[in-house]
Amino acid sequence: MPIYDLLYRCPLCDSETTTSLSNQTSCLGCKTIFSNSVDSQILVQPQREPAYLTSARMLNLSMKQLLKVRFDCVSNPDQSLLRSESIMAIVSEYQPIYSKKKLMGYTEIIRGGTAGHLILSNSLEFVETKGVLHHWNFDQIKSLQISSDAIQLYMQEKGLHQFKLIENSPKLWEDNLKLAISRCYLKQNLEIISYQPVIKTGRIKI
Amino acid sequence: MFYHFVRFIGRIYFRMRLNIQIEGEHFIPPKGPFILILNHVSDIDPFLAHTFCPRLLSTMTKSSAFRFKFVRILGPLVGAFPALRFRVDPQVVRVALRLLREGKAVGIFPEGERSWDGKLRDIKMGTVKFLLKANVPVIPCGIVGSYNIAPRWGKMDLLNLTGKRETVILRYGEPIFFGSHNSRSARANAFLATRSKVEHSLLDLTT
Repeated sequence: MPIYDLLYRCPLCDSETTTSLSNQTSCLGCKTIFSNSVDSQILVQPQREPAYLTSARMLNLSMKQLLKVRFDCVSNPDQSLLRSESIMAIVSEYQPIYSKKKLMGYTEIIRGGTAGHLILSNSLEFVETKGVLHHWNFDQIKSLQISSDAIQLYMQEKGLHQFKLIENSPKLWEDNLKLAISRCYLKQNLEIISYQPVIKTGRIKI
Repeated sequence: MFYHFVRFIGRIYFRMRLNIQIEGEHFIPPKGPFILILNHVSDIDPFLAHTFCPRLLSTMTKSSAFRFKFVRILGPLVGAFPALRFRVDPQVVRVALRLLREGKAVGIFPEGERSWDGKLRDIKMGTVKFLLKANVPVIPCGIVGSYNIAPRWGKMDLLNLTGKRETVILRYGEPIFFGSHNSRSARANAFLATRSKVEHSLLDLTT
């Protein structure tokens, strides 16, 4: 995965970042350059300050803080928080896997797909290029995970939906959706205990 | 036979490309079932585990990897079996228990996916319940150094013409015996202590 998948927004100013190179991304706002360095460190080169090395963990923590602030600042609940060009595919079949004629398990089969836009606001929507709208409330999402360059969501009674992201990072969607879902349950006084294999909630202890 | 051949090739490649160090190999029993639990920080972790574990491993692998035809054909030949990650998968438990009954070694990455930042992620609840149900020795294995070579947000330099061989340590820990927990209530009672034990054992081996 390219470094953009980790640093999908600038950890310093929260602006968007570029996707052009696999081992480097730069902020479109403050122009800071982030690049892979030795021993999995990240070289941060701000425009007006000296360069320094840091870890993915530090930058990730900063991004999560900025994401929370962005969510808190949304005044209109219908406002679109995130919009990405993607291809939606619904898994309806599972293929058995055998070894020495013994069943070892199943793999999901994904065929075709529908182009459109995935939109996160006060719910999750997918608008097909033809204009057809798909809509899900956050409590209909029963599981959430990244699979390569796609985000997979298991929707209640509707099965596994895969959204292959054309340009955006799947981690961008995972982080945003996790926060949106957790806030949806928070209104019901519930906290999320786990996201996989199914979203499990528990009552918040006061 | 094919598995042995792949391990042989893998050992040659990894020994040439990396400075592989193995610690605590004596904790791996020469025969009989056991579960190997490993931290997951890099793409190469499953390959390292399958190549250097003294016993042949069968490892739970994300089902989406089997979408590719070559993985569907070759994966099971080298011990990979699919686990659905987006819903409870009773089949993967049945298969793992069957392999253990046959006296085989089963590998599990209990975090469920690679870490983005090299730190241990939360241990999956289903894995903890499986460890309690299986009633076989659980051997923790910490993989140290692979994150520096191929983090989730980077890629490995497969040839590395600089000649520098980065060090990767596979560190096996003492076997843990959780005992027999046949009922749901027994597993529920032992759940928190078991998860904590698994987390601490992996943390001890990776720091």
